[in-house]
Amino acid sequence: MKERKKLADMRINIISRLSNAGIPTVGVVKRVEGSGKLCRNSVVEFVNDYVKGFGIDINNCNDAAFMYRLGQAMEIGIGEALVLGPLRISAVSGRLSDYFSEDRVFWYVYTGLGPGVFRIETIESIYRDHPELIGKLVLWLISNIDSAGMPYVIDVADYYARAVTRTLYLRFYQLSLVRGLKPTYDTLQELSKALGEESAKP
Amino acid sequence: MEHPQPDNELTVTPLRNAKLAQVRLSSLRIDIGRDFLVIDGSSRGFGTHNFKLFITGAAAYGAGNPVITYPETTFGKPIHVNWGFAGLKAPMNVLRAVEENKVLSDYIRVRSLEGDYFIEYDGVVVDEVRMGLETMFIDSLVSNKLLGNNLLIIDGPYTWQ
Repeated sequence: MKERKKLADMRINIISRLSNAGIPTVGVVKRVEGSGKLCRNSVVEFVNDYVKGFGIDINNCNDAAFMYRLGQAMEIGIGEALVLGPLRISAVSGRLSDYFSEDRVFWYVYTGLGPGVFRIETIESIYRDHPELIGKLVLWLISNIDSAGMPYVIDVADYYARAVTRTLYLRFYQLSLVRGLKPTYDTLQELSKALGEESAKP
Repeated sequence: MEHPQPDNELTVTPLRNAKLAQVRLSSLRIDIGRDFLVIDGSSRGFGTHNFKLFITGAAAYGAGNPVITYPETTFGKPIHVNWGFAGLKAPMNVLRAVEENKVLSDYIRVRSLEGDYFIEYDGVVVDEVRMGLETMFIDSLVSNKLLGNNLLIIDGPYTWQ
């Protein structure tokens, strides 16, 4: 936890400096199945103002499932998006309060394409300083959703980042063969994934 | 389906301007008036029965730059980042040997930020190496004036959680 706090502080420090210089930052999160930020009574109650009778078992829920259910209930079609936010997340007390030193503000987007759900987030103080620009950026990201259901700029960055580690990984694998190393089953699976990605361009 | 337990130490509140909106994508005409730089990181694990090496990397593009990568690749413009791009979990004698090697120790991390060797570290090695690399990558882009006055978009969680 100490390391995580240190790393989170390092990042918050850099992006706060950027924000102070007039440069806001947002994060786009593609994997939200492991997150339960929406699975709370406060969010279900808010949503009920728009979709009467919307219910979800908050103990048997994740953010992707929450938005998917909502998207289905509102009959979101191709070429449309369902946007929920901005919502604020804060640590009230306990073990997370040290680490979670700054409140975050986030939006969830359901598109019905590809994995279908992603989150856009920033730090509350940055949102407070640049509400209009961040609001526009959120809409701009949504307006640039590609056929995978993600903003295309994110898919492009993801492709190049994976290409960096793929190149290194394949070189290391070749070296390991020369040295007679015996990779684990998981490593062979990772190798197969890396080789499969070579032809997948954004 | 994953069922993450709602964390009672965190509260979620809709802001005053919060809404649930159905948006037609073709009707959105958004001009943000500024360019942007997009950043993403990636990680992969290579293991044998006696060691595991986590290989991480990062790429950025936009704001008038070609693709920028760390570590250096054949397709990207290189940038120096003061952070090893690999993390190694291996027997202590191996970790010490890597640490004492002046060349390897620039690229391979063997200890956590708190100073624990990764073999006795109870955190997730790959998370620490990757999160640190992405953060230091952003720092280098800013120091090298590659961001300019443009917006920054990070692919992935803003920080953890």
